Amino acid sequence: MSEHEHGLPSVDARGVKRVLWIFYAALAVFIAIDVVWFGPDWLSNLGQDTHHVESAYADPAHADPAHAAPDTEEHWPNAEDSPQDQPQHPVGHTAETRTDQASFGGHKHGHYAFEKVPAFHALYGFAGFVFLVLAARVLRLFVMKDEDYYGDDAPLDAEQHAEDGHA
Amino acid sequence: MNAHLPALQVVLPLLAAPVCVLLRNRRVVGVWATLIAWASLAIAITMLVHTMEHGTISYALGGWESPLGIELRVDVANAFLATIVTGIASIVLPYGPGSATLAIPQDRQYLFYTAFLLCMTGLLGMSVTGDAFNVFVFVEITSLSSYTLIALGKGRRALTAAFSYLVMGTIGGTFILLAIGLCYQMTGTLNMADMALRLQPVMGTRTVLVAFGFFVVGASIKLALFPLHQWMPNAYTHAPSVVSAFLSATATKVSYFVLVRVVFTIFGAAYVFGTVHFEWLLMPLSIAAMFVGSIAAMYQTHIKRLLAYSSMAQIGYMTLGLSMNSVEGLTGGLVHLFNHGLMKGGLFLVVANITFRLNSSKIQDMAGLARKMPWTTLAFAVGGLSLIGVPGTAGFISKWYLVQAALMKGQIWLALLILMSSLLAVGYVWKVIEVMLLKPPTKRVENTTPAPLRMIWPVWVMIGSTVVFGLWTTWTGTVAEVAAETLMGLR
Amino acid sequence: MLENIAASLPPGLILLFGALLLPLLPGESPPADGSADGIWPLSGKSKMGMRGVLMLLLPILGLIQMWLLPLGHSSDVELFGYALQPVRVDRLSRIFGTIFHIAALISVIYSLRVRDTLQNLSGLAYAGAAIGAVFAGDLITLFVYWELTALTSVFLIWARRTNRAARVGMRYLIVQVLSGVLLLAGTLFHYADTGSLAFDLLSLDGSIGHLLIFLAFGIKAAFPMLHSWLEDSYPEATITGTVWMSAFTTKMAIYALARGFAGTEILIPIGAAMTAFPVFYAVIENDLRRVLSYSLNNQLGFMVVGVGVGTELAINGAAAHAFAHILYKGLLFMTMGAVLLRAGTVKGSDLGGLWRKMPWTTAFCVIGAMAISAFPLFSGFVTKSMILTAAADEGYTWTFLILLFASAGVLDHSGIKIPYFAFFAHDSKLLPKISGEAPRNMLVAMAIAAFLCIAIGVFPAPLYALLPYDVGDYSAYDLTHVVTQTQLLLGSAAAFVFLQKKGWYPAELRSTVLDVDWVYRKLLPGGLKATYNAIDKGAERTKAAVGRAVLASVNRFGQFFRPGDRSFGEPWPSGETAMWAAVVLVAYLVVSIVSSQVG
Repeated sequence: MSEHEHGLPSVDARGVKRVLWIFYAALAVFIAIDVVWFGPDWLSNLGQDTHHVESAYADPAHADPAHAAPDTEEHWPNAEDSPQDQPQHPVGHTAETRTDQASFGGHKHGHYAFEKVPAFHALYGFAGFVFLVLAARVLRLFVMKDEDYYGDDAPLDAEQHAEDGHA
Repeated sequence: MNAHLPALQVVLPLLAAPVCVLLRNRRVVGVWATLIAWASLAIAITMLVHTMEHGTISYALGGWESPLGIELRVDVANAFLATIVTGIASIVLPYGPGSATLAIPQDRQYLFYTAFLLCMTGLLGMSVTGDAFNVFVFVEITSLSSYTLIALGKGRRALTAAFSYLVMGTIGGTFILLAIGLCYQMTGTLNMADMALRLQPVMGTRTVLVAFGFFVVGASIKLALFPLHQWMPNAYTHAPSVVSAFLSATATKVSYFVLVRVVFTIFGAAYVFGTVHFEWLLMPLSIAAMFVGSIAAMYQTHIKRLLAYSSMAQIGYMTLGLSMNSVEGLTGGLVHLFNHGLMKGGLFLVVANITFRLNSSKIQDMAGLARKMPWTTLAFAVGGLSLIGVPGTAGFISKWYLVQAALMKGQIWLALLILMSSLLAVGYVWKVIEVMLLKPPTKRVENTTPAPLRMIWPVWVMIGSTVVFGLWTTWTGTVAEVAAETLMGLR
Repeated sequence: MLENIAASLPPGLILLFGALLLPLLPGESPPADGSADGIWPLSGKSKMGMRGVLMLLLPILGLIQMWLLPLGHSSDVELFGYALQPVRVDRLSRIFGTIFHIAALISVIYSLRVRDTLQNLSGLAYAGAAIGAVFAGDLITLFVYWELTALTSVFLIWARRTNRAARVGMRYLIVQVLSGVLLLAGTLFHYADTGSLAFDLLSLDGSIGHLLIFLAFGIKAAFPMLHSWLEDSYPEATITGTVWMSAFTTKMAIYALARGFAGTEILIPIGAAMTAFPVFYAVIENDLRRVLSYSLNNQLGFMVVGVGVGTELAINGAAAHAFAHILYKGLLFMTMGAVLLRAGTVKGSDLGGLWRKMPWTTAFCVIGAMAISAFPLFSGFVTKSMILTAAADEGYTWTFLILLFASAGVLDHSGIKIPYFAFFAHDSKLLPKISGEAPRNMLVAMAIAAFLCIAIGVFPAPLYALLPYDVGDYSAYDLTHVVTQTQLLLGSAAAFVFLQKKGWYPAELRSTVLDVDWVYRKLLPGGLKATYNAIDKGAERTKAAVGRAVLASVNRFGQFFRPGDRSFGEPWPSGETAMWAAVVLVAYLVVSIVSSQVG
């Protein structure tokens, strides 16, 4: 797949390298923001955070009423998707989130504790992407067929009528 | 004056027919027949208005009062039907010469008009008579004249088609005659209303049961109910297109009406649906007709045969409406009778235009036709949409009534089946449209020209009215409902 | 005065009926060879002509007329005794109406060189029908427009005039019409239950009617397992046709879901599955327009999740995402259309290095790719974050994680794969044959869409003001959002670089990738054939015993109906008909005897 196989240099090699360097630098910067800016915050909260969140969750007064369309409320009990034993349940968090946004962040916020792990999103994106591509390669073994598999280009003759019937 | 209209309705075309033979000249005859058709239409409309306002007209032929004499009896239902028959004839007849030139030698065209007027006489007679034996007589007049009309088609296969129809039609006619005979034996009368009264005490007998059976099978052959439809595809395919247009729009419809009359007027709903449970037979056959007809239509390579199989499916809707035994169902059946007459008549005229120019009714020969005959193609598309039942066309109204009737009976599955079968119609209609619109034109099509105006306007009168009656439903809806209530004896 | 005129007309009709005027105006006929989907010969100069002017006017007039209608405007009509409401204007319908008009305008500009009037006519009528649908206040009106979108749009496929297009179009039409039939059936049930035809919140409460309507919406919204019509048909439409199609049908369904099933919990797993599974297919698909179709399906998933969550923020998110999505997806389809026009193919395996010949198109494609990947400062960022926030707000942890994963997937197929394999990578062998940049009208259309993608991303306030609910102080631009989203995208991109260097990234191969449509394209026909063959064989063996009549009845289905010897399609001899008359008579007697026993 790479350019060497075909012997055709595509975008010239120096250009590619330059783009890649910019890209690596950007990635580093954004991870650095996470680590340097939010890191200490996360470390210092490691011990207490869970407790804080749980208490907020237990207190229904924190729930943000603005977020529920009044007429449909009863239709969405958080059945299986949000098990009750998840300490990260966010309802109590939303009020805090709003104030954060207004002040354009001094410390990292998020709905879940795992989001506060430094570089979580970069790692999740990397892992997810690799999984996606490798899984797709496996999928290819099962679903990839010849280009003319369905024979859709064949001329329409009497056979077509039979197809109509089945469709 | 109004009191004599029923007799005039039948006698006018009957007397006009031999005049055609005397006139001979094909143009003169054409004008003459057209005028007669228009006059008949005027009579029919007058009768319809009259019956809507004042109720039934009864006319004793020759002054012999019923039940001894022959009674012509016109209520809203009869007048409705007579209006349809004469209306279609009024549009088809002016069209006649154009397409008839191809199929019939010019010096014999007066025979076409003679047979046509006789056929109309028979159909009108079946519509207005109140006498059971008269029904048989008019059935035979219709049948004999339509054999002639079909045999006028081009090519030898028209003869075999006519012959096959003749055999089937004779069987049907004989069955009807047998049934009338049995009823006469039981009641001693031939007047329908009188017969209904006198049948009451003997309802339980096996003779009445058999009589009704013969009636049903005889009428079913005439109206081409599945599986007794086999005469129809050949007949419509090989007849001249104009004849196909007229017969498909009227002949099977009048036969349907005779069946409805027999069921409600002579034997009564209580006997037919209460004792015999006729719907157990009729409903499955109707549903089968809807599906088998549509599927068969999808496989056809000739457009006339495709339309014939489609007719078979559409007749299934009408008999389905009858089998529901409710005012809503029968209203749906009658509305569809009218609407289907318009759209199938219109579509066969479209085909007449196409075959007139292309000299072929093979679907594949019509590739790319839209470029050469855009108006004709558009007319086919509109008529096709109506067959499918797209909102805004008459076909939608019929299906709406039928679906409503099914829901009112609580038969949800029936409503779903009706909708499913409309889906099949998409298949056969769009198949043709796709060929006409998107295929590269064949040589045959390249060399063709649009049909002359005199052949286009009757098409658009018919097709246009499917749209008119799709948007404006007061008239059809009201008349059909009144007719249904009259037939069921609720008025 | 102007308001009164506007109020007398349902939105969408200007386009629907205006389109019918097109053939009446003088115009050039399509190129004789019929190549390149009816687009005017590439080198020749092309006048816009009267038809072009009309095409441009219609969406503009339509948009003005729509905005003259005040919120809360509605019209009531009574038809065969049913109370209908052909027009109802509220904020939800207005935002969809607005973007539909904009999409129609952009598509028109993109199509100005199309001389095949059929395409332009059906495109405009299709847009008009979709606009009408989002303003429909009752289910019958909705049904009419619903079917109209199917009947008009199919011509955008058929206009390719190939055997393949004929087949695909028929499949597409059947599925679309089926959706309409389900909608009508559901409407009848709903009417029987409630006596009302109004199109308001329906909810899945166990009634069959609502379930049927839900399925009807689900087909057009391309729910998993009901989706394959989309990937089957969109890549097979004409160059311009795909641009039209990408905007309307599915977003109309999203609107219908938001109107009828907001807050229906089952939509959340459905939507989550919708975001996830197409990305796997997008990785291995070779036809880049089909890759975009899978990507479209994935984006719809985000909206479906938003509708399912159902809070004000989530509904806002779904509507906003639909708005942004129509623009960037249209932009991406336009760039691929330009490639198809110039290179004659959009197969990833055959393309590469096109940036040398088509720099503007490349730039627009990259903008579209960044918008769909939701880079900060692009439209996808400000809309998708609303849905993600809403899902997390309501505590749908797994959904949130799947959506994050799907966002990485979007970056793969639309953000990287499309631009990389089409415009960069190794130079294509086709390169010398490509004459140059896309025609100017196409570039203008792409430029408008690209501009809007950036404008919404940088300055989202006007879009927020349009949303169905008050947005309040919500803002996508806070440090955490920007940092986390950028990290996610850069991390995923790093994975691409990593996989490329390792040589693990799957190569583009000429192939057909099987999807659910395999069931009705191969399995069912094949299965039926096999069954018939088996029956045939069995019948052959028992022929002597059972006789000819039985053999005829087990004959193959198709043979049975097709005209030919001894088949249903050919009328039977009179003798057999007479026999049938006897059969019916006997059946009648049996029925009457049985019924007399029962009754």
